[in-house]
Amino acid sequence: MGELEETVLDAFRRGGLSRRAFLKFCAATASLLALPPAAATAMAETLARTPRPTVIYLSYQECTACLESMTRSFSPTIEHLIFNNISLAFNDTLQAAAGEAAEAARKEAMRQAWGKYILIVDGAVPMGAGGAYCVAAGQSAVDDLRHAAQGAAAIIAVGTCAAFGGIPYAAPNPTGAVPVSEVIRDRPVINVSGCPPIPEVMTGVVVYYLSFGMPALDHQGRPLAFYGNSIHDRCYRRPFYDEGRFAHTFDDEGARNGWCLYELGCKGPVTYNACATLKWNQGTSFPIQSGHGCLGCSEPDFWDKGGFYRPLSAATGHWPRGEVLGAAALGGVVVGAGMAALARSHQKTSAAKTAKEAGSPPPKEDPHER
Amino acid sequence: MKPIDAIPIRPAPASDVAGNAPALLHEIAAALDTLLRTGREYCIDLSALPLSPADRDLLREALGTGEVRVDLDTLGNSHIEETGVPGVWWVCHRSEDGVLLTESLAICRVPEIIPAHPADIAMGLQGLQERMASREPGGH
Repeated sequence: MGELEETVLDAFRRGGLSRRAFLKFCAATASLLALPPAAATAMAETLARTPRPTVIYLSYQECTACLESMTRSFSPTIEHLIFNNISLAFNDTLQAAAGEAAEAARKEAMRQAWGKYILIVDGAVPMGAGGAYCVAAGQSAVDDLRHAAQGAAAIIAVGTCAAFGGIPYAAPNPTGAVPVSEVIRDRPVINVSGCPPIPEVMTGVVVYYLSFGMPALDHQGRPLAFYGNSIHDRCYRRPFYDEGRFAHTFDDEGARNGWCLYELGCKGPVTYNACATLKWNQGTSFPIQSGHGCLGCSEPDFWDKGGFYRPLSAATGHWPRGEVLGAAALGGVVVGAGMAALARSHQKTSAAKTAKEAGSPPPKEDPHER
Repeated sequence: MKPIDAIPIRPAPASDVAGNAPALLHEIAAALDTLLRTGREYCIDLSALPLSPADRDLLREALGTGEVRVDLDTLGNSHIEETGVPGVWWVCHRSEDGVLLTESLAICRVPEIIPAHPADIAMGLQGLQERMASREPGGH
């Protein structure tokens, strides 16, 4: 129990780091979460007395890209610290133990931290054939998840597969895959979608939960701090959209000049994620900056929406035209009023919602329904 | 492997229009006014805003360079400098790899990370007293 009671600040001190380092860590994380400065101070105060949490990371129908993403981030700073400052009690890919020893260690960690651990779930859960498509240590994924969820303080579904079903859920869905929220219906699930999610988003959500409890979520169960704006609203190519300058092929003048990729199928206007601001690979770039439209990977059913290269405005039968035009028109008004104002109001809204909605997540929609 | 700069194709510059900086300057002015009247601090997270190079140039030019520069060496470098507008601090936190973690404008008398924290002072005092005691046997 001694290890469980060590606080996050204690872990910093044990690593020979000063209070300033701790404040810097909190400032960087608060910035990541688009929180106001007062929140960084509050985060520091809370984490200084928060016991280092046990994290159980379970993988089901997934490709391990979420974990690959999570471990390749800003190394060796923020994420490295987070991994040093939580107790990652079980992750079948990262841990050295295997087989019965691993299962025994996991059971022991869950028993010790029952009711207090953070459960991270990666991958969809197959319900077909009585759950037989995904079985480990004699237990089906669905039974395993139901049991682990009972002892969890929070459940975080990382990746689009866990959040919305993702690739396993795509038509024809031969295994009867479902998202975590369809198995765990009696309590909130924090959806951190993306294929994979941005590494700093995954770790940022964990720190946020430790500092402030349940984050404010959108109607898809995603934390508003990261999924509150569309890619389009924050895209640096947005001025070209507003000017009507588009790339029509990947080798035309528009593509070479870095114009808007809307007509090449970019799903930025209907995709909510932080790629345009946080970016990838240590802030190097994101798909649009590299010349390719957004695939919409953080949205439900992105795989089945009629083609990555089909423009949104084309009648695909999958992307409601009204939604697209509405989002674009709203975005235009916001840009006209000034992006700075948008960002500020978003921060304030997030903070207000955070304070107001802690522990009371909004009802979620069935990912099947649009 | 070639360095990324050696690849001959690159995206066009985002924009040479300073569309967002003027709005930010108004926000800074309002925050300074609040600081002066009520003492309430404020922070603008630049890393969360879509700023073009022209926006950054305009901000730098309008705020100017001040008298104080502070470098923190903890978890990588942090550079904090007061702009030519007293009370407006340009704060850059970098990782141990030199990656920019966050860049912000803090509107306050002194950023919170600079003053020594009581807990660190207490630990420092304890260490100093131990060293004093070891130098002067029997004395405190």
